Amino acid sequence: MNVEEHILLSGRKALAARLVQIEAALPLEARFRRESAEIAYARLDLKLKDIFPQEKEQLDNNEIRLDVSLDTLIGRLQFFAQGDLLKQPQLFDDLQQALDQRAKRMACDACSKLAPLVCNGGVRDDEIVSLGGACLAPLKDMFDIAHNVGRHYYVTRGTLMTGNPDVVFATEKFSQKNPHHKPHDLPVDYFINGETVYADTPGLTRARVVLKVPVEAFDTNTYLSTLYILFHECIVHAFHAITSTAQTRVGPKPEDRFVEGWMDWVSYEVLNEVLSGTGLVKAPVNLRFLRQRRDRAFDFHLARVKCQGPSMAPFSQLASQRATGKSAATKVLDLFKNRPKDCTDPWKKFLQLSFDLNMMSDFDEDQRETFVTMLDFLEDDDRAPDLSPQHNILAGIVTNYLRNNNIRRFIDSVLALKTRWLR
Amino acid sequence: MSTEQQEYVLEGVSVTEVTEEIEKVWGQLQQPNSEFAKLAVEKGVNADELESLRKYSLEEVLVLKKGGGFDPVTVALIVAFAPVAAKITKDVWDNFILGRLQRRFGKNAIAPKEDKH
Repeated sequence: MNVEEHILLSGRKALAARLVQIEAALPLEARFRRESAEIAYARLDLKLKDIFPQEKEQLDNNEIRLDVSLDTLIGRLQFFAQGDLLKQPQLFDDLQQALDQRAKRMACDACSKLAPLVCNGGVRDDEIVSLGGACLAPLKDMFDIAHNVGRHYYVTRGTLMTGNPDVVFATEKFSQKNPHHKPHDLPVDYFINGETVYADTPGLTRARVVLKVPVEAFDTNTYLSTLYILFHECIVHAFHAITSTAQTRVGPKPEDRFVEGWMDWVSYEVLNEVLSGTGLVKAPVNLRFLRQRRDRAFDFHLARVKCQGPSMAPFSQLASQRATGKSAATKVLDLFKNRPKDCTDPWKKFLQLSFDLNMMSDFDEDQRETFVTMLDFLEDDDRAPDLSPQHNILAGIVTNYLRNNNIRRFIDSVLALKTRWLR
Repeated sequence: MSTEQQEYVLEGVSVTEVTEEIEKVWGQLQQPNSEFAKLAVEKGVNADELESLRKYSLEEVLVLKKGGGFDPVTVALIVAFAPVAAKITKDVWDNFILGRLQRRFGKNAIAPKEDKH
């Protein structure tokens, strides 16, 4: 059992209240709308932000248990909601019941495997959360889905998975300068980000997926977008460069066009097909709001690569780099699709190529950069007349790869074009 | 002997909040067998060194000053280690207090000055 670091007790109290509120209210969202209480729903999603500063003392007091703190916070939220739902008494009753039920699941005594010891801001808190962690269970459950799906896809579609790389979950608080401050620079109001930290030791490949959470700002939209972040971390980063265990892996630079562009698009597509029910793995039956999660994933993914639009639009600084990676990926997939004689299942073959490239320790940063740069010479429409000579050469290399399945030769053939085309 | 110091950039947290948290952590570390003291030793602080620090108050070993920001909205915190126990205090700071502050407020909330450039 590995003990991972998580958000300290004070932050977890606030985050737990947020998760209770979101998971209790979200199933009732349609009813709020039907009963003309959509404003009450929106106000409910904002209210805890106001309550937290007023309850700072108890949030910061480690002698007050998380479940006791939760009672206070949820009690105040219920009191507030009651005022907003005077004309919808049944809806309020149902909301109240849902809030109570969700809060009960986070009872400290039932959660702690070290009971009667429960989280107290002390030396055993991380252990208690790692062993139980009911207060973070909604996030941990999402991580488990992303991790299991990622692993299954890599094992099933990739050909280079070796050993049993360890992937673990951790959480970290993100500090906001102001209420709009996000843990990323993307033009989308989802207050969440992730980071994968490599903690390899001789003989053990280990990645720590850290969810970075501005706890006060964690709202319903953020909750629904979290699965995308976890899929990104688990599919793009967790199994990156695992074919050699000779040295500790180094994380790619944020501007890495293959990792952050090409592979992010792969992770988005995998999430999309899993949530749509067409993937290799079915989404667990208890994972709800699949369409809403897909919508947020689309927004998040698009915000990473969007670099065209109104001139003053606030694009991410690295969107152009990521867009190039995605562009190269989509053009390669299109080539696969246009060669049915050599490729009977283009998506399957494309996933194999992507996962294998990502797992290769000797497909280093310089190679990745050149690889994407050269493949972006491919034209968008492989069936258009008057294709460029560069396109035809690259298409030939891709076709050879489909025929001989030799990934190293494919990489080297693409890289060799650099000296001819880029001076 | 000159006073060794480290400079941090604060984001989304005030010098007062950080100072209060340091006082809280220090107070806990001063209590033998407290949860924080155990945690500090677990994180790599030498138990004997921690014990030797107990004869000093926070003000005697650590001076916290508000520094100039890099822009009007950025705040800097200067942490100076008094010569009386500079090495030991710095060890406790590096191995425990700083990490604790970063977990409490967020890693981005208190970052070494050089990391911000």
